[in-house]
Amino acid sequence: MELECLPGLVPTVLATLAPNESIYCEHGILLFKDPPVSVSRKTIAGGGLLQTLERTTVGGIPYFLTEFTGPGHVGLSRDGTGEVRILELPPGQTIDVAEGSLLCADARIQYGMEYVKGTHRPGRMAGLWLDRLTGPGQVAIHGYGNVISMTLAPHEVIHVDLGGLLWKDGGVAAKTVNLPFGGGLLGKLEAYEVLELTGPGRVAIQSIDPKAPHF
Amino acid sequence: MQADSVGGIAPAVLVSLRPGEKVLAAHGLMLYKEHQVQVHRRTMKSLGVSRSHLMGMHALGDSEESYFFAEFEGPGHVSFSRDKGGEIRVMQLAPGQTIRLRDGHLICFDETVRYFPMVLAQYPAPYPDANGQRPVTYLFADELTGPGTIVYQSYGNILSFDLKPGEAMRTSVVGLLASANTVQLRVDWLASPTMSSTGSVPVPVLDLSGPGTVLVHSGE
Repeated sequence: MELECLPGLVPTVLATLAPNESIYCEHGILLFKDPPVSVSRKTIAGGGLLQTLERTTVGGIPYFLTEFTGPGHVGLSRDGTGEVRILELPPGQTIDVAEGSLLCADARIQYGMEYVKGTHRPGRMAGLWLDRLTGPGQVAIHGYGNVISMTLAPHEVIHVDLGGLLWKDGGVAAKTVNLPFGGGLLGKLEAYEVLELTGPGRVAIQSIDPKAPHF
Repeated sequence: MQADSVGGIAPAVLVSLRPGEKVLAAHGLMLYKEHQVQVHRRTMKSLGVSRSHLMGMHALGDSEESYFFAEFEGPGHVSFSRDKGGEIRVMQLAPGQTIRLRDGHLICFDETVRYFPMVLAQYPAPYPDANGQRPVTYLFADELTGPGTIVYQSYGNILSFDLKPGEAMRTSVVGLLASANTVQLRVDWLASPTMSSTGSVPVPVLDLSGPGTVLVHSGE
């Protein structure tokens, strides 16, 4: 299997699949495929009915994934201005990808979910979900806007806007925190709600929040 | 403070702060910051902008001026993004140098820069509406006076002009991004071709005359 980025303002990833090779992605991001490429459903296991309803209705995690099996080509696009990054995950390496950013992953990559609790402020009580991917295999990620990558040293901490995280290493701890914004009631109400990331590990940030109105 | 533009499609600005150095930005623009960078609220009152002036601006129309800024205090790095495409420019203002930047484009500025929100121009609709009123459109701007660094973002690309004394130019209302306070600004009307259904509908334009810098942006 080969993943190739077709660069441009709205980049596309082109997957070239050998016979019986598969990739999976979210339903609805297919741009084109060769007729010999077959399509099937990949169910997401994890939690019971209530947890599934919560992460699909409150969060942005899909009910199921779409699996494409070769031989042939598949083109996938997130319909957004930005950059596509293709990562090669060695066996056992885990990354957490922001919801709505995964373009596709090798079928060998184990799919799971990581939940980050919210700060219990109105509007953010539900927290957020990340796609947890464990190698070996290749994965393609769409970053909205530009992607800024950095490596955090052990115990190094950064605060990231909730819509700014693109992906992080599984070893980077994440929690949501409120940064008080001055004193008094206004300071608490207007507190910055951010994602606190603690190293060690790699972090990638996107310059456009996909949920913010833009363009 | 050191500010650099990062990226090309939807650029962000990376600000490096020394210990005790402060940068002010609109609330909600932060992309990420280092843990040691402190966040505070900076009220307009502390910047010398009275509440009555601000409320008066909000009463005029859809002014985007905030009631307060977020203040980030170093040491460390903080990054801001407006979640959109366009050029980011970092400008060093000399002591006493003033620029009027259309609202919604300022990203951040040095603590040493004097900030004052203002109405850049206003014009009534060319014809009365169904109620016989001629609603007034207000063009809001952030007036920034040096010394210090300011960072702003355009829609699309930025074209810069340095007008000599008495030199004039004309821009569309949405095309003007910023002008120096020495530039005289006047709203004029451009006659459009007559349409059979509506007749001629004049288009407002801005007449600018030097001396001073004018920045025009290509997006809307």
